[in-house]
Amino acid sequence: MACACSALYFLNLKGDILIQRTYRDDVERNLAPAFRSHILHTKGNDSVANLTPVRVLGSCSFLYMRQSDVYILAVVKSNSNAMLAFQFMVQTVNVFKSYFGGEFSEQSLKSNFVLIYELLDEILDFGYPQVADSSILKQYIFQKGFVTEATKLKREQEAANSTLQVTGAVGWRKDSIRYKKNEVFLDIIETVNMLMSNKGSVLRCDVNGKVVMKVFLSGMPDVKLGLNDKLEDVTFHQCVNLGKFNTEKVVSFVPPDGEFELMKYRCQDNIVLPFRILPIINEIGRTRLEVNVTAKSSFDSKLFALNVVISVPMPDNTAQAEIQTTQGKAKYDPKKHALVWKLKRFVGQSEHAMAATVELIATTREKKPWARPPIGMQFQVPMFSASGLRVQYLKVWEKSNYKVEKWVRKVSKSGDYSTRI
Amino acid sequence: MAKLQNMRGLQNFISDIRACANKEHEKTRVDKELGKIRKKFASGGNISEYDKKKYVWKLLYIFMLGYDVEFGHKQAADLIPATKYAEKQVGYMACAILLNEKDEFLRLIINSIRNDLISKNEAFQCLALGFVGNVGGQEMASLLAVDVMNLLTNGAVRAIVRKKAALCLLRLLRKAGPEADILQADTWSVKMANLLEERDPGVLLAIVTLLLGIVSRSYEGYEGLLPKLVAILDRLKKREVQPDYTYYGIASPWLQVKCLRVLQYFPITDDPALLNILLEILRKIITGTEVAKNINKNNANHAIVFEAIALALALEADTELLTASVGLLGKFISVREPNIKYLGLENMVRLAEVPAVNDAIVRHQKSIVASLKDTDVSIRRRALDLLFTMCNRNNARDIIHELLEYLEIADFSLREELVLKTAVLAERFFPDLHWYVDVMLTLIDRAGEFASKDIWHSTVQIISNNEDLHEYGARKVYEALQRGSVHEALVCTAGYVLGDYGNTMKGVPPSELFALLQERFPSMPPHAKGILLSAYLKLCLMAPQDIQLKEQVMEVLSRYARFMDADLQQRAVEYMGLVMHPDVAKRNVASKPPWEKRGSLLLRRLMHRAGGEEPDEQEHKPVWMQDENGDAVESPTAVQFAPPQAVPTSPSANGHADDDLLGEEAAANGDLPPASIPQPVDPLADLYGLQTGPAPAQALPAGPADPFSVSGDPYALTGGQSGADLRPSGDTEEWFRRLCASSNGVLYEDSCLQIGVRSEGFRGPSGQLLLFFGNKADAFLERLLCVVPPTPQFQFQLGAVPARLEPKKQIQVPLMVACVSTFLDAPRLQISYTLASGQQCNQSLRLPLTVNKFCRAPENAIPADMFFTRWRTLAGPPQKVGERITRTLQLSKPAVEKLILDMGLGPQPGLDPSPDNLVAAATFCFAPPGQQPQQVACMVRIEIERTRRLEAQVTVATPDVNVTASLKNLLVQLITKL
Repeated sequence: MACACSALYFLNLKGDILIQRTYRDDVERNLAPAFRSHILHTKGNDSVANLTPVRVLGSCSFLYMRQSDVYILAVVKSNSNAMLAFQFMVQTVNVFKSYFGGEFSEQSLKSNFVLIYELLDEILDFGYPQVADSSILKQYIFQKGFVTEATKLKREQEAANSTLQVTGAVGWRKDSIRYKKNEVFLDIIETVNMLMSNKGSVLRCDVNGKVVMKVFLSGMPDVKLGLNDKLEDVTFHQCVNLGKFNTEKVVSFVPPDGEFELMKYRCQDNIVLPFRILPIINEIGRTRLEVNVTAKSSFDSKLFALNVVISVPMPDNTAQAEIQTTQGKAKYDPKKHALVWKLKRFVGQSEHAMAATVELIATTREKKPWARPPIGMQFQVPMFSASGLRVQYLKVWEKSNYKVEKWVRKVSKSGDYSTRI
Repeated sequence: MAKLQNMRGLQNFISDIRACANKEHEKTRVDKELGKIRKKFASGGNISEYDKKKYVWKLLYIFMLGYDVEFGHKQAADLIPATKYAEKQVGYMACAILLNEKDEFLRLIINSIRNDLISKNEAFQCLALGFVGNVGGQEMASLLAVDVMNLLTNGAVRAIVRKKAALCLLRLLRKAGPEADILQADTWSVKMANLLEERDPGVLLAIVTLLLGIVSRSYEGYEGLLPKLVAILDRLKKREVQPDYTYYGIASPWLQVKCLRVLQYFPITDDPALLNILLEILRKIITGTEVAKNINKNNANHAIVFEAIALALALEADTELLTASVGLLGKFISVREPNIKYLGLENMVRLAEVPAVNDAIVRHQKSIVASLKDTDVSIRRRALDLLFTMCNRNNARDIIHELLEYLEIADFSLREELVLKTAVLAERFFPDLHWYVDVMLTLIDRAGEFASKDIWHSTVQIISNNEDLHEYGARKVYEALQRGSVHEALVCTAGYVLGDYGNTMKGVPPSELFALLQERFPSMPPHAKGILLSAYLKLCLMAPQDIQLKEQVMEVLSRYARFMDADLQQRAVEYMGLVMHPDVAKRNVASKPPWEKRGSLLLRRLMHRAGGEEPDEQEHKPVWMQDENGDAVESPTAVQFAPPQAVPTSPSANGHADDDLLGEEAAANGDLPPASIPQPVDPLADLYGLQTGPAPAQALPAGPADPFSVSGDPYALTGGQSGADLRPSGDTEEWFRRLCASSNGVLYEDSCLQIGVRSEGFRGPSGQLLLFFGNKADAFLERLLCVVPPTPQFQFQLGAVPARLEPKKQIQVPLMVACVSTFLDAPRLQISYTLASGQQCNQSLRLPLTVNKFCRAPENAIPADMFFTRWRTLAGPPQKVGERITRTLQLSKPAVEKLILDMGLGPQPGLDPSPDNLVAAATFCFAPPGQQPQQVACMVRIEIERTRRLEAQVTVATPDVNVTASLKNLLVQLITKL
């Protein structure tokens, strides 16, 4: 089950090494050229190369993922747990982000070489993942190079404690935390995926949700969270008492300090779809298209959606389009081969339409029939939960019984939200 | 190009593309630009010529980056009639790059091209000529050739235009196809003669290149140009050219090479004076060339020399000149430079075919042999070729000795060929038979797995055909075994030779031979084991008094009496019986009879490898006259002598042993005439035959040449009277062919009887034929008999046939058919009847149960990759077999397609990259009794020759040898007569 990662590479999009660390000598020193020539620059279908995150070349397995403009590549020799390797890479990115102030890019890697080497030494040992939690790492790997004697002494103590803490019963929290103002923030973030046929029937639909918390509480508080729903497919942060959840359906935990992801869930039933798209596209002759797209919002009229983007794919030989909309702006974007209709604000229980006349240029070659890819949509609906998840209560209990301010937010975002045409 | 600097948009675009960090950025930038260009082009007429030019440049750039450009061709073509050079230029360039010669779009611009050709502006003429010279196709050839010719012959036009015109004309000539005669020899040769007077070497080079294109088709009508060409060569040799055209002191080497090559196409001139001048030039070239220091100069010189040698060969020049050539090439071979060495060897091979210079070449034998050890494999190969070609009776011993030496170190890719060639040389030039046997045994010993069957087969053949070799051969084999040789081919040879002639060696008891063979027995493959078992039996019979040997042999045999391989098991059981009855065995087990005189197996093999090239000596032409059944008849152990208790199988073992040597040859050779293929190659076919037919060892019908001859037919129901005066009223073969591709029709008809057939429920392993017997006459048909002789490949169930058929009456007889195994030939139906007048009819008819009747077409189109993987896995004969068909009438693809459909095979359109070819797939089904039905995937490819459509190539690939052969034969038959 071990990861046993022989080497870790960070490469830019061209395949040049940004930073590299070898953990075992069972692989050759420089594998980046192989990765570049066999994986990044494979001719033909780019998407295929991207779709296979694990490739075996020779005796090594290359596990890689792309994060903004950086490829992270783990080279393993033994039969490793691929999921663990990817989870580790994701976690590494998170650690780096928290160190670099939320940014992870080629530039940020280049300007933090020393720090990264320090981190790389710490998070993996002989290829086995160690501490990959930024809050713990920050206790002994510091962002700023120079520190005063006093803080140094304090930090040394903390660092000494940190081993104790990692091995203790509540490994994720120190007990000496004090805040003047005790606050808890809870965000429910849901991603809605949907595929609808052009007749309006839903072919596939699911919601991926997560509960993210930001905790500023003193001492060792016990938190209880009551949810309305029977959830499917839930995974919890390690702080949650699973026994209690199984018996009482109450999420009970001692929270780590600061921001963390409390739980993830997925559901496929009883989903409220925020939008419906009704497209009508007629091909008139070989060189004209009539496009009518109507979008309907079905959430409560008191709510509204933000940053709605509907992109209606067009054939490759589209020359120009005349577009009228009831709200928002729309234009033809040749880079995406689509009509892109943007609405800043979309009120609930309302309906907007776009009508376009599209002119196509005649092609000399035998025209391939248009593949009619689906209409895609992006949106954000604050205070709306597509799965219908509600927080019934959020209780904090601590020895000193201080007053706690609690904030709960919800937002539903689009995932892969598409309608066939 | 000056204008290009001003096109900001284009420059910006290119620099944007170059600045892109990765492919995605580039793609988005290109998409954006394409969108913009589409918008501009779609907006209609209000686009300036300048913009048009700029956008077409951008499109070209995008196309060159590897993106599809599917529009803008019209705009590019619009630029061709433009008046400005820069616009015209991009118009031509875009059309040349974006369109190919088959594009419909080119038709629209032919007129503009013609206008440019006949314009007075030579820049435009050059553009047009360049364009036509690059993309011109058949249509342009017919429409523009005249204008191009005018430009070429017009002396007032500048040299550069005429140069382009000559090359453009060459392209048109090549594209026009042989039937479109755009250059009439009688008129054009006069013009060519004038053109060859040209003094500018550049134009002359283009013209000679054109001439080369013309004479490579046919030199007829152009013989008058010979003196002109010789004059040019003469002039060049005297260096009468401008200094611009001398290259390292050589006068236009390109022109020299072209002239020499053109001359090779003409027959030897009958003008002795001209010939003398020419030979003098050649002599000067061949003897006057020295190796220079400069590599470029050397290359130019060598190119001329090689062409000169080729021409000298073509002119059948005197020995002196050729000997000089050999001397020069000998120098080349001995240098270290691999390119020169290679070329020297290659040209030497050509010279080696001239007997007169053979001695001269032999002088270089040492350096040629040294080339065998060169590091470059292509040089080694050439050296081997050369040694093979130059070998004669005098140097054969040395060369073969060298080759045998070399065999030990030769690399694996070369070994098979080397072994084969050595064997052929040994066979061709052997000074005495003992030496020959030595060489062959050494070959087998050293070459291991690379010695093909033919090599040891022919060794055995030679040994057994020459009585004085019997003892020598046996002793040699015996020594080789004692040395510890273990290779299969050697053990097989030993099995044969020791089994037959082991007793000729004095002082070596059979038990020792047995021990030597038995040592190797366990590791041998089944067929070799079979040979060894036969040898054991013979050894045992040699020493009847040796009880111990007998026991040992019996032990081996009894072990194999329960072996899972049917052939070995049968042999073991039979041989046990024979060992127990030595008196019976003595009568039945004899040594191999001498082979009949026939062609060398090895040469056939070599020809097969070389792709059917004729061997250079007539006497080595392959003659394949032997048929296996003939051999079986001549065998002294033919069936009629076999005593009943020894089971009729004892001869079969010997017959089978012969098959080892002979039968597989037939199967391996795909290009036998189809008539001789269908004989069963299954080694046990004759055994099974015993249960079904009366006498399998008897001659089968004399082959399809005369399928209706009554006397030769073993199944003929009424022998004796051959006065069958009722003849079919049409071509039975034609009826049969029609039935192959349809479900009902006439099978047979004569003045009294008509037989119709309807097939039902095939496309699987079984089905039913309905036979309709109609009496057309006014009299009874008496003694009507209808029999389907049983064959092991089918199961039949025939309905009752009444013995007499009333006048003007039709009856219906069902015939149920199930296919039990794969087969080569359709089964037959025997018909006989008598009329009251005493007239009699006996017919043996082929039933339309051809292989395709049991084939099922695939329901869905087969994916291309799956088809090709399968196609490739079936590498060659006998699983993949092709045959070329020549017809007198043109063949159309729809007709073939219909035939394929009618036959029930599934055409797979779009699978073959060429639209002229046809690919089909089907599944052949058969059901062995008591087992699951089995399927054989069949793949068919028919290539129709494109221009004349008189030839076609049929290739069939299936995993089963029988299905391949029968399907291919059927298709060939049907398409030939389509």
